[in-house]
Amino acid sequence: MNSRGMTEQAFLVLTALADESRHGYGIVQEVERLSEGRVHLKIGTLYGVLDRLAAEELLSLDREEAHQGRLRRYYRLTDQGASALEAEAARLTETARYATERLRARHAGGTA
Amino acid sequence: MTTLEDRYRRVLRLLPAAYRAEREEEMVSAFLDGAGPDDENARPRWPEIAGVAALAVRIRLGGATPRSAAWGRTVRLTALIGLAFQATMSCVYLAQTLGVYGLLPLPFDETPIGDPASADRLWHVTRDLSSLLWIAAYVALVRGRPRVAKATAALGLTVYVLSGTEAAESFVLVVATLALLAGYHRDAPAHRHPGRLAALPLVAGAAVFLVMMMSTWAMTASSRSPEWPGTWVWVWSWLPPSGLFCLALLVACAVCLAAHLTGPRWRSPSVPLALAILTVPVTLARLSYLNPGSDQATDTMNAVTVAQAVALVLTGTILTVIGTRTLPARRTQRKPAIDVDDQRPA
Repeated sequence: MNSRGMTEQAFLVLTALADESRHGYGIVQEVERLSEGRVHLKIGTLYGVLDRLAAEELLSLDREEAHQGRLRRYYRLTDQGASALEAEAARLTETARYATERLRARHAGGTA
Repeated sequence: MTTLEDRYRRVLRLLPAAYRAEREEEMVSAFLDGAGPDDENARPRWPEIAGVAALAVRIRLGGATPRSAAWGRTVRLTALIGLAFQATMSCVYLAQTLGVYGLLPLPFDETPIGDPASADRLWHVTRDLSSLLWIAAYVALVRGRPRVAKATAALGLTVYVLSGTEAAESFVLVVATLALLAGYHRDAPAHRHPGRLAALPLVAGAAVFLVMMMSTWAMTASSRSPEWPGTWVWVWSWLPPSGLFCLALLVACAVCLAAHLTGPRWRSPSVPLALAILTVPVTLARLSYLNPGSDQATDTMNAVTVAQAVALVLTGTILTVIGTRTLPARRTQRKPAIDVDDQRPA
């Protein structure tokens, strides 16, 4: 990942590909499900994210299929992508842990 | 092909042909998978169109190919030069503002600034201090903070438009701000310039301020003489912001041309193209100063303005030719990996 870190969209796309390879609209659906409807990727946005992640070798083309006469390309997570996702997930978990601890301390101290 | 598919394919024409050759089929497929049932009135929604437009900007100005990287550098350089000039002028405006409010002993005429503690005064102070926004935008850009630069430039442009200042002088600001918004996207390489470059507008602004003060004083003095308009009236056409930018651009264009002729080492597509882009708003701004008056002074100023516009158009054309010839070649288009035409239902 570049020095500017991973965006939420990139994180969700990589997460969507963590268990199986998916095609474009499959990724859109999975990202929407993972974010509980909060993030709906536009197709232009999705391909911008896919291009960037492919350029960083975090995902790659898995296979191509024709579905109802239309092209579907399936993308899969690379080993490098899995490592980047793992690192980002650990970072977010750590941040969430800090937040939880501080909130617990705040409630314990009776601060309004 | 359904109506919706046809309309979406038209939207995709915003993308470069080489990218479409690789991605169009799967993008159409993904879009149609998520679209509702087709009817004659179905069309892509605006957020989808905006998504494709943003992708088109990123690809055309990104670094995926040497050519798009060169265009990206061109647009970012356009923004940097435009903001550098506006920051320079902002330093001049701030010095003039200090004079108007009596904080600097400068020989300014009475300028309406509203009564103390009135809403009118607040508006004048806000407008006058908005120059700081352009300085902040330039410094932020030079120091590798494009997001801050974008926000402050957009705010500066809004205040400028609301202030009702000469609309023609805003052309450069509009072009520079658009270049800033388009050129500094997420995929653009982060670049932090040396700190001394951030101080450039202050030094240049001080020099311009001195020149303007002396010129204005000389012209005002000569206007009171019986020999008015005299031989120096042509100077007026160089004193507005677009006149000064015209002068700076013509000098920069001459240096750029000389460097290009010196040898291949100094040849780059981005510098001549950025300068050529900036000649357009400056030419339009200069032409807005043409005045239908018929006295000798007006005739002289009109002649100088036309000469400025002609010089800008000429140099802009030459730089465009040089820049486009120096651009890396277009990438060869690739066909999609599998041909789906045979499998598409009729």
